[in-house]
Amino acid sequence: MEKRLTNQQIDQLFTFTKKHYVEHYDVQVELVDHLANAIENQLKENPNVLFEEALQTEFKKFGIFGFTGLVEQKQVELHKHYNKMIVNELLKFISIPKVVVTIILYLALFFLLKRTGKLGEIISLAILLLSFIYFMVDGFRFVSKIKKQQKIQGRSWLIQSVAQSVFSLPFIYLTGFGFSLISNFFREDRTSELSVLGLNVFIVFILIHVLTLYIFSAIIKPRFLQSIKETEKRFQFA
Amino acid sequence: MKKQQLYKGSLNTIIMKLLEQHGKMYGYEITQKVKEITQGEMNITEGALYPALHKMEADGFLDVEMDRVDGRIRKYYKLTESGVKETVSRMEELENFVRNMQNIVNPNLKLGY
Repeated sequence: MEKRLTNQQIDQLFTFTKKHYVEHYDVQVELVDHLANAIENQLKENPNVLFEEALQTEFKKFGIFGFTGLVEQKQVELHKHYNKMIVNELLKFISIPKVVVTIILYLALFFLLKRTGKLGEIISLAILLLSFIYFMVDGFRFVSKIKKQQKIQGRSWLIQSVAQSVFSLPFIYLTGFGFSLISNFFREDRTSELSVLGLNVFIVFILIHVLTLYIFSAIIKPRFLQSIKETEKRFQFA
Repeated sequence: MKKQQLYKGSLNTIIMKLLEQHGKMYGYEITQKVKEITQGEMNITEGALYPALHKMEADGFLDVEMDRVDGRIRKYYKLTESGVKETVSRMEELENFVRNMQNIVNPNLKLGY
């Protein structure tokens, strides 16, 4: 007769994973089941072994970093996956068929800025600045929405932590980069219009900015929301 | 313990092959299965198995499914469509590797096929 762990012991395992810095419920579940199976196996071979001892033996098998290395690695993998997705989506805009959109946008911006001169530059800078702010606020709202969800459910999923980091890091980077560029434009008391080279650099920057913004809100965000929903659905019966 | 080193590069392929044969499996089951097949010669450590599984999941080669077993929640892994394709190409690679190693280790032995 195989000895099964009691519910109390299972709860103990959950506490054990939490104590070892596994905060996401989906990861906890997998580790608890693994430990439980391994401990039951030990008990089968040696019925006298103590639960605590068996647990320590199994925990050692996870290596010196314990569970933390495992959790971090999983986050890094997922983060990489989403970064790749962002780059791939951006690359689509310089390959057929989407390159057509890029060219049209490019030409439209070029002629618009050329025609309107200094005023056009200032207006587009203002629009950039506003969209930066929108970008930040939107990202902040997304992250806090996730936090709220976690509070209501009393559980957090690993994918949520990845969504939070994907949505905060590029914002810091992009805004930092963008503001330095904008302040560069205003630093020198320029009275003349942009040179042709300057104009082209400016347009490329606007395009990258607009496309990244589009990709983040139209592709990456829904993808995250869907992944979170899928994870919740998987655990619904639990 | 040194011999584990030789298996390391093939860990993902081994996991994929097992999933191809058995449909869906959970982590602990995979470690036990490998032990059973190799009669204890190969031992997948927990510290290697889960990172490998999680990477393949992030890469879209594996899909997961949760199930309630004996009052516990179990996480099963199975191959996705792209995972199945990947398994085929990785198995070919592995077979080539084994063949080449055989030729290097034992050059006089002509395989009869």
